[in-house]
Parts: sequence; structure tokens; C-alpha cells
Amino acid sequence: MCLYQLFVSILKYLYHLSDYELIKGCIEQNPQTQRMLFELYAGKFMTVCLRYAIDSMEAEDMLQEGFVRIFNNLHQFKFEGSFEGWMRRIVVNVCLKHLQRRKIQFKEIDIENNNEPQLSPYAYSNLGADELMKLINQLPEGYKAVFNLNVIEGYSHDEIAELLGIQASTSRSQLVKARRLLQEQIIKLEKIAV
Amino acid sequence: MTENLFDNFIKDKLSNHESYVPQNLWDKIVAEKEIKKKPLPFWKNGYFKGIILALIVTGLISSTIFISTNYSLVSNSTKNQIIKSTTNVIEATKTTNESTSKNSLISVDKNINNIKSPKDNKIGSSANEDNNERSITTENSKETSIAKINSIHSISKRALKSSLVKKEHTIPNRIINAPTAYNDNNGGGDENVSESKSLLSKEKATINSARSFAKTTKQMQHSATPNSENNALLASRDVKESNQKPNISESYKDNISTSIVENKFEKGNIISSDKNVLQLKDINKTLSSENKNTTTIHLPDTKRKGWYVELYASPDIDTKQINSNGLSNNYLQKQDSATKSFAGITAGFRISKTISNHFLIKSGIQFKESAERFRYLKQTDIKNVTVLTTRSYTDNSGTTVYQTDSSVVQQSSVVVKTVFNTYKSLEIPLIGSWESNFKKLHWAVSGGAILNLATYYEGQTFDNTLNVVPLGATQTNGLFKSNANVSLYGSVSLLYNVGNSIDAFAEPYYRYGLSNSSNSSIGYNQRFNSAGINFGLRYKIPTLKSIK
Repeated sequence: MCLYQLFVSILKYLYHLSDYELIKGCIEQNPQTQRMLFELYAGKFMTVCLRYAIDSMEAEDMLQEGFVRIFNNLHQFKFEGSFEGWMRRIVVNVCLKHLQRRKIQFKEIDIENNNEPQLSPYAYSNLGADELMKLINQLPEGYKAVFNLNVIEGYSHDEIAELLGIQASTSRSQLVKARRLLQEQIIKLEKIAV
Repeated sequence: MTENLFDNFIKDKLSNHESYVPQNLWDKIVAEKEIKKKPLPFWKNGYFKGIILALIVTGLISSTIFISTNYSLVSNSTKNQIIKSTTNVIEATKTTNESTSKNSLISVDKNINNIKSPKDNKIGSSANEDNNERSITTENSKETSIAKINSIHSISKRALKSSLVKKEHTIPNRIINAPTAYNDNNGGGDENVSESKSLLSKEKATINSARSFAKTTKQMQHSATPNSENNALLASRDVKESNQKPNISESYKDNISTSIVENKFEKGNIISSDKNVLQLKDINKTLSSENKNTTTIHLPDTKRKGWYVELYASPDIDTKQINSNGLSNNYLQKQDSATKSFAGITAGFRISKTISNHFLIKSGIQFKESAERFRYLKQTDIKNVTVLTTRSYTDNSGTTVYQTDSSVVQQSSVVVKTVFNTYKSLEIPLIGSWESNFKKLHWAVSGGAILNLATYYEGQTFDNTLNVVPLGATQTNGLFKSNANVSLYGSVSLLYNVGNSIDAFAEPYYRYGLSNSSNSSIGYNQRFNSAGINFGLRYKIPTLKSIK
């Protein structure tokens, strides 16, 4: 259990709130409960938005839109599965909507001829989250979207293909290329550090 | 390193990572929620749209059912009348034939003639009085006959048959009495003549009711009479008539006149006295008047009168008029150049009522939406850039001097922003229309007023200092009125009859805005004019009379 989850649990304990009470309060348009929900999850979802956005301004817009959607659709939550997962899905969908507006080009890449760089676990074990975020944000738009969706959000290639309107094979090739690029960047970073 | 290890590392690092969230973000979310919380105007409400749609659909279905019910009722009642009238005709024929006495047939015809020709003064004063009474009796008999038809409609065929059998027994007795009475009449007994005439007048009335549904009667007579020798006279006449004259009135006239003519030359035929012989001319007149009375009972109302429902939709083009109300012409030019009107749409329904044969009044409810493009320059960023300029020069002593000047340049970037403004209105048309027609094609000239119930504005515009402000009438600044606008309406319509009670129409129109849509505080007056073509359908609502 990470520190964040511990923090959320402490907050809930302090406010004597379960997920059910939190959701109920938000559905009843209770401003304090809504604010509490925002405080609990805003930082986490901001990270999600930053991974898809071009800059922090766009990420803020995404987060704002995401929370408005969450509050508007909270009554549709059926208490099946994780509440956080449900909210995250909404935020990711908002991010994807912004991506669609940018009209990203996804090009199929021939991955067989490329040599994968050799990266030892020691090379990246010392990388912090912020550094990783920067590296991910340096990836081309298409790579970044597929990498985020597959590696971090856990979507399958078929789901990604449906969400982004591309072929599953394109998603796979984009992921391989994204991973390779990211590893190359980590190696470069390692060389600089040395 | 495997891909999975790398992926898991990234996921672990980032899945629960928290980033900095600006403090004002919550305020923005609250503000956005507040905007979305604002109640929608009632015509944007889904329930309202559903109700309107349901009303329109229900109206259409009801009209269709009414129309179809109306015709089925008419056809049913016509069938019943045909059955009844056929029965009566057959009975009358049987009666005349069963009596086998030419005198009785003559007396029947004679009495019919007497009833049919109230103006015949040759019979004398007593006969005239009898004629008047008989006319009344005839009318009563008609009503009774119609009542019987309706009652028969509700009973089974078996009951109908029994009533026929009963009539066959009763009528000959009356007819048998008739010749005697008539003979007595010749011997000077006027009272007996009256009795016999009144008896026969009932029979005549029954026959009259039969005549009004002639075509089918003929067919049924053909099917009913060939097996009966007693009906030979009428059947033979009808066969001839069906070959020559399709009109039953004509055939019936011929039946009567033929029987008169034939009987006139029989031995001992008392009808040879000119007093009681009905001339063919009189019969024609009487029959034509009889036909008028009978045909208007059950047939659907085809005249242009009653109530109509009109459903229509129109593409239209709006033009905006802006006049200064304290602001400079420069401002008006900027305001005018920033906006461009686009096509709008109008849809609604009207109820029409005929006031006279050509004049209708119409009212209903309609929805109008107009679009407008608003384009302006938005200053997005201003930067002050310090520019350093270094210059060097050498003086007379050979010393090189470097001089640096600094200046500040302000850079600003602008973006052309385009907003589509929409004006949505709910309106009541009050229209008078003069309509005429040529065959199936109707044309109409209409004029009236359109009252604005409510208007909802969306978009942006300039305020009087050229700042961009929300357009909405419900917003705090309230630049525009939300209701109480009036427009004059004029149109020319072409209607084409496409089916029973349904007309398709096209109606080019022009609307002239009488009142300003802007508030006085805005500094200019704005009003809208529009032109378009209504395309729609008009349904005639069936009247209760026609359904009965």
C-alpha cells in the first residue's frame, strides 16, 4: 500500500466517510463533500492529465472538465468495482477527447528491423516519478498516448484501438516504439549522469 | 531487461503519483458547475420536446383514425340503407305485383303522384289539404325510415329478415284496400280516397328512402328479383335502365312514369282522369328535391368549412437592422461587420377555422431558431521585450567607444475568435387568410402578426464599450429582451389536395419586426426581419356531423 492510499484512508477516517457516503454527498450536491472528493483525487488525476496534455494549462482544463463530468455522472456509478477506477476512466476519456481534437497521426511502424537498446534495471531504478514524467512527455504524441493507455492505465491493444480509432496492430507498434524511445532516453540520461 | 519489468516499474512509479494542482482550479470547477446548473429554458427541456412531439403524433394518429372511422361509418350506414331500401323496393314491387290488379298498381302510382305534386290544384281543396298532410307524413316517414335503418344496423341479419317477412304480410293488405278506396273516391267518397292515400303515402315514403341509394339498389335488385316472378316488372325495368341509364333516380322515375303510362291505357283505368295523373315534369322536380334531401345525410363533408390542423417547417433567412440609440456610427459599423446572419429554421403547428367560404383565421405555436456568426479579435498575450542595441564608434583620438541603448518593445498577439450566436424563440402566430381554389389547387393570401412568447439567446456580442460580453438575455447585463416582440407576417400559399382531407402546401412569407429586441441601455436598436418558405401538411379535422 503506498503512501497516497494511506493518506486517502486517513482522510476518510478523519471525516468518517466511506466511499458510499462520499458518493452520496456528492450526488446530493453537498459542496463540502464535493470539495473533499476533489482534494482526495485531484493530485492523482492531475498526473494522469499531465501525461496526456501538451502543457500544464491543457492538463488543468482536462482535470477541470474531468471533475465536472464526475460530479454530473456520479449517480450512474453502480458500486461495481473501484470508485477510483471509475473516476480515472472518466478523466482518461476526457484526456482522449482532447487528443482527438488535436488530431494526432498514428503511423504504423515496422518494428522488426529496429534493434532494442539494452537497458539494465540499475539504469532506471534511481529515476524519480517527475523525471519519468518529463521523459514520457518528450515522447511523440501518438507514442505517448498508447504508452500511457497500455502501460499505466492497463488498457489492452484492442481497447486502445477502439478508443483512439486505430488498428490494434498500430497500437502494438506504437507501444514498442515508445518503449524503445523511452529506454534510449533513459540511457542518455544515465550517460549524462555518469 | 524484459519489457514487463520496465512496464511495471513505470506503472508503479506513476500510477499513484500526485502532481501539483493549482489552488484556483476548484473555483473554476465550481463556476463551471454553476453555469451548467442554470435551468434550461422550457423549450430546451427534453420533457417539453417529448410532450410536443407526443401531441403532434397523437394529433396525427387521431386525425387518421377519425378520418378512417368516418368513412367506415359512412360505408356501414350506406350499406344498411341500401339493404333497407332494397327491401322496400322489393316489397313495393312485390306488393304491386301480388295484387295482380292493375287498378291497385295505378292507385299506388296515383297516390304517389298526389304526394309528389302538392301543387296540383286539379284535385280540389280537400285534396290540397290532404297533400299538405301527406307531405308532412312523408317527411315523418323518412325520419322513421332513417331511424329504422339505424336500428337495423344494430340488429342481426336474422332480425332483418323477420322484419321483411312481416312487411310482406302487412303491405299487401293495405294495397288491397287501396283500389276499393280509390273506386269509392270516384264514386264521390273523398274520405276514403284520403285514407287510401295516407296508407299508401307511408309506402311511398319507404320507397323514397330507397331511391336515395340507387346504384347499389339496382345491383341488389338484380340479385334479389330474378327468382321471383312477382318482381318481374321492376326487375325488367331495372335491367333496361342499368344498360341505358346508370342513374337510379332516372330508373326510378322511369319505373313510375312507365307504370303510369302503362296503366293509363288499361281497361277501367281510373287514372285516366287528368286530375290525378302526375306529369313526368313534376316527378322530375320532386325526385330532384328528394335526392337533395337524402344525399346530405351521411356523405362526408367535402365543402371547405370546419377546422384544420397545419404542420409546417421552414428554412428562413434573417436580416438584422441596427440603428443608433446614442452610440457612434463607428461603433455600429464594428458591430455590424463583426456579425453575419446565417440561415434559421421555423417549425410549428397551426389550427385554422373557416369564418366564411373563403376566409380563415389561424393560430398556433411555432419555434424559431436563428444563427449568427460573431467574429472578433481577442488579445491573448502581451509581452514587454527589452531590446538592447550596442553601437561602437571611434573618436579622433582613436579610442573605440561602445554605446548600448535599451528600448522596450511591447509585443501582443491576437486571435480571431469566432462564436456562433443563436436566437431561439417560441411564438404565437395570429393570421387571417383568404383562400380560393381551382380544382385541386388552392391558393391563399395571408397576413397577420406573430407574437413572441419567449426568446433565449446564446453566444457573445459587444457591449457599448466594445468589450465582448455574453449575449444571453438571462445574463446579468441583459442586453436583449427575452419576450414581447411583435412581427408583421405576410404570405402567399399554394395548397394541393393530396388525399382525403389532406393538403400539402408551400407558403413563401416575409416577417417584418415591429419592435426592438434590444434593451434601451445597450445604446442601439436591433430588430430582425426574416423571409422563408413554409412547407407543410394541412389536415381537415372531421366534424361530428360527418361522423354521425
